[in-house]
Amino acid sequence: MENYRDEILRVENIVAGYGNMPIVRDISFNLKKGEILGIVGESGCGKSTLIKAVSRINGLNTDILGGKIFFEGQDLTKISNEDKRRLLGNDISMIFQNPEASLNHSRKIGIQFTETIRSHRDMSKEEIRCRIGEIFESIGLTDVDRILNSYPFELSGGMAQRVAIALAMVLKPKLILADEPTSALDTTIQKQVIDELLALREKFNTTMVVITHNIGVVSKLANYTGVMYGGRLVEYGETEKVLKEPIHPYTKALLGAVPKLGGELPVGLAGRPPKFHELKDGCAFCKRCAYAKEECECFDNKVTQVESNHRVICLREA
Amino acid sequence: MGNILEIKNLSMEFKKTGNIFKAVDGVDFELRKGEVLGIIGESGSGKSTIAKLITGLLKATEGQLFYRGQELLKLKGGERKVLNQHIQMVFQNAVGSFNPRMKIGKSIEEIIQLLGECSKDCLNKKVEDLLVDVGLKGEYADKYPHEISGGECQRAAIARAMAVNPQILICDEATSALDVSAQARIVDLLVHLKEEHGLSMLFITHDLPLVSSLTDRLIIMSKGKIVESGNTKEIIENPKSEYTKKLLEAVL
Repeated sequence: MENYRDEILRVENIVAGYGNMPIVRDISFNLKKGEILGIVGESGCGKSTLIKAVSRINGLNTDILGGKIFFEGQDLTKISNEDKRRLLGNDISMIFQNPEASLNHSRKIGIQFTETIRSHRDMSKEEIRCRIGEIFESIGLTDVDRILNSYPFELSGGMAQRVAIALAMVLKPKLILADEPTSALDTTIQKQVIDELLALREKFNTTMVVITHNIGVVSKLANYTGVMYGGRLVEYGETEKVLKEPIHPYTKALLGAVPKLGGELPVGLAGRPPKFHELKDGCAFCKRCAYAKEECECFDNKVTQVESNHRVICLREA
Repeated sequence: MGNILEIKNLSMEFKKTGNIFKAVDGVDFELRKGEVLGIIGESGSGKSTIAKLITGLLKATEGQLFYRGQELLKLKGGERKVLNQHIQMVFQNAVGSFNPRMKIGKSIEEIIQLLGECSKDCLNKKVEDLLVDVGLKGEYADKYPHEISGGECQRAAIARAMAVNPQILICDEATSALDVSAQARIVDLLVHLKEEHGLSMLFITHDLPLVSSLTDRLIIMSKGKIVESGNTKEIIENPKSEYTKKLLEAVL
């Protein structure tokens, strides 16, 4: 427990889904202050469900069916709505894929910032304006007054996403959960947003969980990378290790599909992730796996520690 | 290789609350027969507008468009419609490009019927062939767009575009909404179709690594103008303009 003070988020064997249908199965990881975890996988692997479950936002309809989530030692699965209100937006905030999801279309941006700040802090108008100016500057938004006076739809997509990030950052949260923060942006803006997220971590020591299907984003941003398939974290480790020396066949296949500058045509993986209601026992990937054996179909999905900080769920390593 | 499409001094202006916004500003380029030409640029650089001008979804304010020597912008109604057969487009949002209340098969049937009357059996056969051609099963004809995944829906959209045996296929960010694995497989399909049917392709995207392996030539656009064009390999290895260098730097 010596590192307890540094530990921000600990997820223990979480099982989550919609209603009685588990989507995310048996996922564990922990993050210290200032660490960034990137989670990758194809569409339909349960990435978003995981982050929705961790955020505990009411109305996202994810139910936790088992396991525990600790935020600074407090169990988020047992938290009351009252405490949650105090925590979300203040200590934990979320960035969504499209800014439309996090900004209110019928209200000016300035009001949305004021509302967020006032619901957690007692600050005067001038202090609020000063705080917004500071955050905007740190992520490279210069035109503060014009932006605050605009409606979200009056801004370009990249600008709106940066505003949404600023809104998530404005109370200097300890943990940011980001669901595909750069997927809707083009490459130059994407790079800018990533640089800004890194700068924010540098400044405020923020911990982040970032979901993406862009391997490039993970390699630039994350300390740790988790690869999800069929609702399980099939490989988890330091980003460098996972991307350079992948162990799980799925990680290898995923990396092969990434187009490289001046390289050969990328190779896609045939088939698609299993639908969650079709999932049976055994390895979920065995139908698409080049190394699949008969035993894979009754594999118990045991986690194998390859190195102290690198684990994988695969029969070949078990 | 002859030019199948020639574009000369093409411009498009949008009027917005009194201001004139030039989305495309005097663009010249040509698409050679059987090649894949990539158009790269950030959001708002006018690359999608060019696609819409070529397909006739927008009317150019200035310039000339030659398809096999025939001036497209001067053609009227019926004549222009005949040429739509030769130039087809695949959009970014595949699910949104289908009528949500129509089964995939029906959407494709409608296109085939434009080519002339066809018996019910013959239609079903053609739809099945097209779907199999793009790597889907025949029974997908009986599904609605929302019932299939994004990658599968993009395949169906490609099948629909191929239904009229086009000469030119324009892909406007056709893989941007897909994950890397699905993207790689769609690219593979496009390459396969190009070889098999001798298509010429215009591939519009902001993803440089993707086009670097797929295209023969590149056009880099910024603010409605072409800032650089040429052989893909040369541009990637030895970019001339500052803007291209900036784009290459942003590659992660």
